[in-house]
Amino acid sequence: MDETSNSSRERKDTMNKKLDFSEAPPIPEKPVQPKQEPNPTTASNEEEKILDIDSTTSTKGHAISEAYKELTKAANPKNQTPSDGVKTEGSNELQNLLSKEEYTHDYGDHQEQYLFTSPFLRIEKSGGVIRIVKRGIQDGEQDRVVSHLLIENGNLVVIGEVKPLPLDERSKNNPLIKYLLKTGVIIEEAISEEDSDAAYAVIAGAAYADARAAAAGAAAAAAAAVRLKDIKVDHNVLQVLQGQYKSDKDGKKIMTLGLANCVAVTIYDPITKTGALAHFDPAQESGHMFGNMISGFNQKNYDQLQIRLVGGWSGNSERVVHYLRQQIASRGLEITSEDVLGDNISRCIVLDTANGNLTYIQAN
Amino acid sequence: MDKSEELKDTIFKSTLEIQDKNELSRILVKLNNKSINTLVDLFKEKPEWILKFSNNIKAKKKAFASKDPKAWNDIIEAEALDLLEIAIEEIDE
Repeated sequence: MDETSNSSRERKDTMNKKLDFSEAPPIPEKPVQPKQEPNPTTASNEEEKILDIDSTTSTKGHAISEAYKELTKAANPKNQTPSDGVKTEGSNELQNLLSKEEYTHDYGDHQEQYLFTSPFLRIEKSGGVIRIVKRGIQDGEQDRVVSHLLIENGNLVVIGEVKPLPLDERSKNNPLIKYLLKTGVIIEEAISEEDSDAAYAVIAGAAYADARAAAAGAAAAAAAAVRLKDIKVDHNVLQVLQGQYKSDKDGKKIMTLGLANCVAVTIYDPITKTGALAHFDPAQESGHMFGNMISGFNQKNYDQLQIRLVGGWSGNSERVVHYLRQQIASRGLEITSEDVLGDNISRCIVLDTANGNLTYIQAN
Repeated sequence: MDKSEELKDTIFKSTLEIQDKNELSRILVKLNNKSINTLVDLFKEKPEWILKFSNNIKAKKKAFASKDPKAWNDIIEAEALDLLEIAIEEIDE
């Protein structure tokens, strides 16, 4: 149930039956059907009717996309400035921003890096191309690529018209978004209240679907399933989706929903009041997520860190729990508390960076 | 026969002009083996795709040369429709 890449999300993608044009050629100006990010945030039932064209499962489609991409490269000789686009000057700042992916998804024959995600948009990097995807929010609305940017000799080039993008407060505080705004690569579009509610409803709906899945086959789980419709979503809370990790500080809260067979790790540094939360899916490769997560903390404070493991199902999540315990121990760290495994429980947690408190969201 | 050679061979058996055959095969052999294999099968099954790709590169060059965003967008949209069509075919199969 989140917007990150992972095999669970791939499963849900298939369920969602979304269009996928991940390998659509670079530089389109008009929106084309984007690759559907392996993204359970859109796992609402209403979307199941949408046609699935996931290039990861469509060999022919993928090959054709690749061919189109090569044809585009061939048609765009080096140093040719395409159309009336915006071109930023190459800089260390840009290189630095483009190297900081939230996570990387390995499709086997290629990798995609997600530089930024929000309920409204995501920024994907694949090879030398950056795709800015406006996410489908309302029922039946599909994700679509609104801009393709080329990384060309260290510069960023966007073809054609600059498109307005919905930016919530967190987006506007993101360094990459700030840079793109500053350089005129993107412009801000006001988010309507309707869209805002819909976007967060999608997240909540996906979490509800997860909780419902958790309940399948176990009557006890039904009681544990979170009635997310009763939860008032605080838009200022940082949402961590499946396969993601996020960190924040200074009193901000970090939340993840629907920890069914997934396991969350929270890390809190009481000295700097910095917290991080990662949502691991046992069915997906987590790559270096824990390493990336822990690298955000000052080693001098390692002995002060509060590390907690939460989530997972017995008989399903032991491996990921074991893996995380190993990751933690191998760095000389100790787990402060664990609430892992159990019988089909779906947990939702909030980490408060003001004090390190970990709160469970319970059904009313 | 090596798959890259098979791809070239398939393209050269098409009705394209010789320079178009040369260009298309030069570009498409840069793909990975998996994609090349798939394209060889596709070209044998549906030779019209060879012409489609050849026209695609020509249209892209023209759009870049004319700096015409509309022309470019038309190409991209056509590609999207192609992919949709292929995907639907695969689902039907």
